[in-house]
Amino acid sequence: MSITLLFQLLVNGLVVGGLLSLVALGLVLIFGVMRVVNFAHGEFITLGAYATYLLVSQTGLSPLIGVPVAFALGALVGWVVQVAVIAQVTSRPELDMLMVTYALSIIGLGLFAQGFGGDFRSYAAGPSGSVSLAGVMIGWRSLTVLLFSVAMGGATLLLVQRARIGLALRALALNRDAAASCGINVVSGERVAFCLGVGIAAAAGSLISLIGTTTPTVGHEWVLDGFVVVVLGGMGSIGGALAAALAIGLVQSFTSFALDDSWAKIITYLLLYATLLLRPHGLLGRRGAEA
Amino acid sequence: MKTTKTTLSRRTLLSLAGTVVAAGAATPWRRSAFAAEPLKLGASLSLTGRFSDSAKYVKEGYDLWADQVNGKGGIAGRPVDIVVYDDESNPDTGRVLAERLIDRDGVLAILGPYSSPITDAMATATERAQVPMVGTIASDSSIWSRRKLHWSFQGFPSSDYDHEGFLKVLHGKGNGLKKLVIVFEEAPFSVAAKDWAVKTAKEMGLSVETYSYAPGGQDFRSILEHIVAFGAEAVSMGGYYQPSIALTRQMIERGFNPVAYNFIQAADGVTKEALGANTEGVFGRSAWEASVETPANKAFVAAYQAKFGRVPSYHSAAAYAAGQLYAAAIAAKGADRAGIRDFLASATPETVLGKYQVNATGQQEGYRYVAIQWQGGVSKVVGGASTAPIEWPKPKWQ
Repeated sequence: MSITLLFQLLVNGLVVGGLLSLVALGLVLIFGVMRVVNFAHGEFITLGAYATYLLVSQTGLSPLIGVPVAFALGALVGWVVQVAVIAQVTSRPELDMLMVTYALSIIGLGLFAQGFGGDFRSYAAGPSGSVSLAGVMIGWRSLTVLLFSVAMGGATLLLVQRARIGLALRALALNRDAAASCGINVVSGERVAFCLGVGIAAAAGSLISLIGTTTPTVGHEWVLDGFVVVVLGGMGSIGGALAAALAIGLVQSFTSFALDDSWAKIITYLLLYATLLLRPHGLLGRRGAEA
Repeated sequence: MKTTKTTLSRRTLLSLAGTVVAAGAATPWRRSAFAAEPLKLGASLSLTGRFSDSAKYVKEGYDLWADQVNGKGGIAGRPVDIVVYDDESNPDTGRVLAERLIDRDGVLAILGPYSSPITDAMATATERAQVPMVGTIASDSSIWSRRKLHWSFQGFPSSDYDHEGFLKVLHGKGNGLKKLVIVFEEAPFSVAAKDWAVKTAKEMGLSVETYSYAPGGQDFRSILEHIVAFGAEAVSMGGYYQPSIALTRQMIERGFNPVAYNFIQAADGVTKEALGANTEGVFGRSAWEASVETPANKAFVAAYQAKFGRVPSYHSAAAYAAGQLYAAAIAAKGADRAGIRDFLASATPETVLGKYQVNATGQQEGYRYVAIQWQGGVSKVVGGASTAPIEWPKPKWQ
């Protein structure tokens, strides 16, 4: 294998890993703060994809504008869903919450299918062509996805680590009751986490629409891998999710080349299994978080 | 013995006459000219669900055919009545509806559904009940090669020949071209197409490499590295639309410019929406095109445009062709299921899709795909009987 090919596979893996990290980031935020496994996460990704498709096809605007628009739309929808649905069942048993998010997923799938039908939606607008760096080719669309992923991942980490609201979110993630007794507004904190998580999911959907086609199940197709990333990285660990996503992206890139994409999936899930056996709290998760 | 003579009063007579006339008016004759019982055909169509965008065109094809046939007095004086149920794009539902059409509605034969999976499921019911079915939009020949079907027949070009049109173009234009790559999905239809294409390409003297991906796959970057390393000059993608667009986009990003590039679903109009100017020079395959200049095709297109106000798609053409088959079968053999079945198994009538002919297993051998190429934003039939020039080589990606 030449050095050029090695770096080419590396770049390919980073692109996939970057997108996967955004998909997982929203899941991590929501689970970390609210202890909610959001089965409807895929539908929020799909929301962002369709929003960008409509923005491009109806207004002729660049799909790059679709990313912040999708984020804002996702955050707004997240706020409505959190207030109207999630907050109403927060104190109920975990199974109730799982069923509620599952029901949201089915409703979302149905609405998209009704609204857009089963045909693929796609657009040609956006960055085109590719750039060569020492023989390694990277398309402008893929580079855009990578840059947005890095920017949003970095911004989220900064927010959680440095901002006041981030401190509140970390406190809630550590111990909800203790955070409340310290004067942190639990309801507001959970609302922010959910809105942020959904907004990031929708932004991920917008980027997915840039490099692929959009269907009612597009989010579903990505969210399964997203759950693998979250578990591998450690439930509730943002850093763990980012690291796991990049690792999976690289594993899939190299394995697909050496064998094929079926083996890439097999090895990814074997890694997940091994991690659960040897390090149940994930790569960077906290012991006890898996309970 | 006293005989009682009963006479009807004028009022009673008039009442009786009025009742007879009213009963006749209430009888649902399709056309006032018909006195015979309708020929009932059944169809399970994806009126809702993921196939609905395409299946609606199948219904339009059936409706047009039925209207035309009934407008001319029906088949052997009997009007055609198509009973349609919604399978919701679900194969299991399609099978149940086939049973309903046969057992409850007593249809004479089944007009095929949209898609190979639903056709496959319905064939189980039609075989059990011994009712003929034409697989109107069923390109997957493995339906017929996997099991012995005696009552179902493929009414659509076989997916085995998905790459045929492109290979013919390579044969005609590709002087000096040596290396071909075929990308295929790990699904029966795509594997069968790949097998046929590899055999044919090798007979043409081409060096061929093949790469597969799992169903639903979207990441072709690693496969592209193999394609680049191989030095491929022509690439043919034999999968569904969504992976094909993903492969194309990633090929563009990789900066890999083949001399000729084909993906079997490229004829679909949404290709232009997805790729824009990068459709230029891309080949695809089509089961039918409105531009094919035969008298029958022109008449069909004109009739369709008059009824629906737009140019028909291949879905409607295939549906119309299925109707034409049944019309020919019933005219030849009467309203007899076994006779219709025998006709479909052995006859070779002409339809808007071309010459219908099936082999001993029921797979389509007569209908073939035509190659298309996107030129100037329009999909044009090229190669074969077409006189349209072929753009060669494919322009570099933009």
